[in-house]
Amino acid sequence: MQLSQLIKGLSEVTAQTPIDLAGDPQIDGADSLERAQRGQLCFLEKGHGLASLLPSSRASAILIPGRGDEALKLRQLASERGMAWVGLENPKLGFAEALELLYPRRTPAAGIHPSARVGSDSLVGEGTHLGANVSVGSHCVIGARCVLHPGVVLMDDVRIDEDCEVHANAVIHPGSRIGRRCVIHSAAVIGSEGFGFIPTENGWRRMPQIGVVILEEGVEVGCGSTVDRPCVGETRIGMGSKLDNLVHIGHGVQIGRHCAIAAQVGIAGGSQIGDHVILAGQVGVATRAVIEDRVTATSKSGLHGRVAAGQVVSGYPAIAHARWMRCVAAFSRLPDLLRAGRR
Amino acid sequence: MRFSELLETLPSIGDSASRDLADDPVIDSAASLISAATGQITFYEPGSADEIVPGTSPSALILPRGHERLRNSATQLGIAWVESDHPKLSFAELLEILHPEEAVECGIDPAARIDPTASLGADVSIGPFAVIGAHCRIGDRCRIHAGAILHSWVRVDDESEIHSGAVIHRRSVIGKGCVVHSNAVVGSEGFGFIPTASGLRKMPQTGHVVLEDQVELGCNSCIDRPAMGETRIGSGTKIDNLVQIGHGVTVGCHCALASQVGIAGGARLGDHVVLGGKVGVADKIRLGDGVKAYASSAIPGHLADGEIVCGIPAIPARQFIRSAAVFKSLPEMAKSLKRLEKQSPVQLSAQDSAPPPNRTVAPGPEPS
Repeated sequence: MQLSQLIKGLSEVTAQTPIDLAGDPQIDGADSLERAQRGQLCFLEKGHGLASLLPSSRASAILIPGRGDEALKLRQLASERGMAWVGLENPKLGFAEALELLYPRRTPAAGIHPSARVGSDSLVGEGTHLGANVSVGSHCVIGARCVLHPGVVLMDDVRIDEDCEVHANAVIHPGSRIGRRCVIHSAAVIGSEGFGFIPTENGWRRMPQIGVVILEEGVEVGCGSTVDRPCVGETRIGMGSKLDNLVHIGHGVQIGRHCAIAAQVGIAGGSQIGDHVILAGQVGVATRAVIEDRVTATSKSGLHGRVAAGQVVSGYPAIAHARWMRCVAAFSRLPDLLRAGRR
Repeated sequence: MRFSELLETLPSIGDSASRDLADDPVIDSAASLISAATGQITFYEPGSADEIVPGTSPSALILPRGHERLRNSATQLGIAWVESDHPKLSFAELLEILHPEEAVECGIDPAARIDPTASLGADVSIGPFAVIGAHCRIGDRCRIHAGAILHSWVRVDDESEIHSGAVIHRRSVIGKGCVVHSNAVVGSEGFGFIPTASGLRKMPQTGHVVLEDQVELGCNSCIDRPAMGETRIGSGTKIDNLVQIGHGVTVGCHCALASQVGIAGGARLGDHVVLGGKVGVADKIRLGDGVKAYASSAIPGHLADGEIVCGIPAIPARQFIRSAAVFKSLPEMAKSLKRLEKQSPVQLSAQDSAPPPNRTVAPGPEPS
């Protein structure tokens, strides 16, 4: 594809976009700045330390920040290298769009593999693909244009709306509702039984878990992640929220919209998470904690109680990030502090 | 099998190794140090015990070289023994002799789904409900268990084993002699999103994953593929259960990553790195060869070769241990500080008199 053709597909590009097509090279792939070869596109984000690599890059074209102090310098460096460049507000976003054009997603053809099993009264929408050994229970509704990869298991009464993708060996338990454009990655489990037991003299007595799990539109659940169903009511994940791999969401948890939850996070039963919350890798959230909108927790922190909107927290128990960093610095000096104290 | 016959099968025990065959007992199984009974063999390592564990009656022992007390103790009790430079290694060898893995019948189960464009090597075994996608290449003597799923263009080299429920995504490469345990996922989409006004927008993940030879990946562990290029695990590296390897990570050779370790996108680990359980590694950082981290550590920044670290965020282990010892007495320290403050009108500030920290603390890992 010629570069001029490619950039027509980028949402940010207008007649005013600063561009040097440098002979309009043929672009047939993309890679990072340091690895890109002739015929490939790369990108550079604002303030990224990699700018020094530009003069030695072999890439044919680059997406660079359209404004800011470095913009002019980067344009000059690229032009000197004979590289075509496009100045964008968000070069990373442009790169994501270009990747989709250069490497179109393969969607399997519509149809049901002969080895797939669909239970009684279940409906499969138009254009939907069911791979080998897929098992769909009874009374399920699968929307149009969904892809269920091999080995996926849907138990009874599951509803999946249009344009969803469920990857290989994922399991969706009875009564779960999956909104439009959701992606469930390989071996994830939705609607598994909540971890609810009552201590009795004869040991732990199981609490029946009759609730359901609801994923709203555009949710992603990573590989091996589990979303438990509650004893009563629902476990809900809000629109556009993304869960990484190996995340555990306990029974009855409510997650707001557009949250990003990194790998190995654990959220205990009954917690409430607001909108636009970011939980970094391996964060833990205690039972019935309330995390308000736009909270960010750095990796491995342990949250409990109520965390007020907009806070950045760290440590366990989690405290304000800046204070935690000071505590951590003091921790390294504890032996010296003890000595000073004794004096 | 007689003890003397058993010894002949162990490569790690030479003819010159000291031994006492006693009455050359028949050995029919292996057991742990604390449960060994007649007819069984077990092993002692340097430091595991100074005499034969009371209440046990092993028929034979593998002992560390030069441990007089254990040797004498065994001889007195009439227990046969042999010395080894590496008792645990010798024990591993004899386990394979005494408890051989059940031979799996070669062959392809009729319920396995194999795309006609896939190529299978000699003596391959494929279990029921396994799915082998288009253009896959499976090497000789590979074993693919029930329900494992290989998407298209996957390459699995000779003598590798893929356990039940594992999912191998498109274009992944699995080297020779690898083991991918149950429900592990190789080559899944990296967690890459761009915040926009209308929510988190997906960054397409067009790369793939490479496991070099002899890599082991534990149950439910996940290795993500990157936006471009590859995520690579070096030869001989062993990864425990529930480990997350982010997109674009490079792990060197012969590393050991314990259970629940998480490595964020773009990090680069050298060779022989050992990470304890639940260790977290921040995105895009470099760990030198031979780095070791204690369990639960969070590694926020680059580490040089051979560094040993501990804590959240991780600091040199020695420093951590000294600080942790003082941490326990913080309540007393706080109390005496308060007392001093009451006695003296001058504000005490221990911080001012302390030397500056010898290490700057980088911000914690961010989500990849």
